[in-house]
Amino acid sequence: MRRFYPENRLAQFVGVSEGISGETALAQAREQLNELKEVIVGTIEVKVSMLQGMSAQLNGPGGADLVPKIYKLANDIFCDAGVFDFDDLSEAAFQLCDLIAHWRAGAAFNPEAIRVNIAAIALLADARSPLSAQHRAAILAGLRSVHDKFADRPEPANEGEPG
Amino acid sequence: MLTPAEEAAKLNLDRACILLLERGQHNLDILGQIVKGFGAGNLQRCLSIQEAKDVLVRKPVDLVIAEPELDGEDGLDLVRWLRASPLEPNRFTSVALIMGHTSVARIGQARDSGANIVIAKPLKPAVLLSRILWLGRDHRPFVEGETYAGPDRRFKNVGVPAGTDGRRSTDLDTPIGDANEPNLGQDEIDSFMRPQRVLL
Repeated sequence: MRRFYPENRLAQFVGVSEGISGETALAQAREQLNELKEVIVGTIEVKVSMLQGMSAQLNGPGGADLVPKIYKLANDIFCDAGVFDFDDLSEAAFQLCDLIAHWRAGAAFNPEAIRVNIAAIALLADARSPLSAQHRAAILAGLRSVHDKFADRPEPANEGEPG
Repeated sequence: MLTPAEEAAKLNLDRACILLLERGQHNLDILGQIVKGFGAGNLQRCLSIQEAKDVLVRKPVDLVIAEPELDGEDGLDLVRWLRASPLEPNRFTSVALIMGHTSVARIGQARDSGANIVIAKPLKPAVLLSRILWLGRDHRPFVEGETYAGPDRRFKNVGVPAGTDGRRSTDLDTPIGDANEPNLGQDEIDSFMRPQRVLL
């Protein structure tokens, strides 16, 4: 086993005396990101529609085969919505991913739970729906109950850093 | 949110070469916009492992930000390849992996591939910037063994695994815990290094 200290090349660019502050960098990044907002919101809407289409087919033949696609779409929505601070939509999509991950880990498959999650995602994603903050919170609380009821194995997680 | 120290920290990524690897153009655009906002002037945008390898063999890269869940490819293979390759200085470059919903086991695989850090999606600019600043200050040793090459995975001072004496000469037998005094100032550190006349 060899252990040594190579140069950290990134160090020459951060924590330097000349440059922009972290605060400025952050403001610029948010500005850059906003240029994409309209496109991403449109993409989220398309993905939610796709989820709804799959939801309708879940009880049909090959319904279970749709689950990996549903997971992927939900994961995309979780990530995209979170980038633009649509936090309730992002959390709803995360709950769906987590539910599916638990089934993959061995919990019993329940299409109704998926359907409920997708319906909630569609509601939260609909910009025209007159949902108050209270309604949105209630939807998320309901989803957490569904998650707790059906995802009873402590396997999946989301975040981590090495070490 | 950035800490006050991170808000004040200066960065100049204009000349830094940063490789971005994402699944699909849409995700690459999001990542690219954020890093561009940080002032990065040399972004190498890749959509496949092969594209990323082509860049890594061609030019020095100062930071890699990669999504391991690619379409039909495992992005961790790129990190393993890079760490085991003879490409210097790129084999030592900082690698940040960005991951959406995933499993604990997969995060363990990401760590064991030789990545410096795993960042959870959704990508928030503040979180990404904070991690880049952290990576710039990261002076962990690089470890090269039969089954692993990459930054030392044991970088928290929590002592050796319970019930063992450790494997290194530098291992301490008890956790050293958190500092209970403020850090030394630069002047104090400099005073240790300055030659001084002493009475013998």
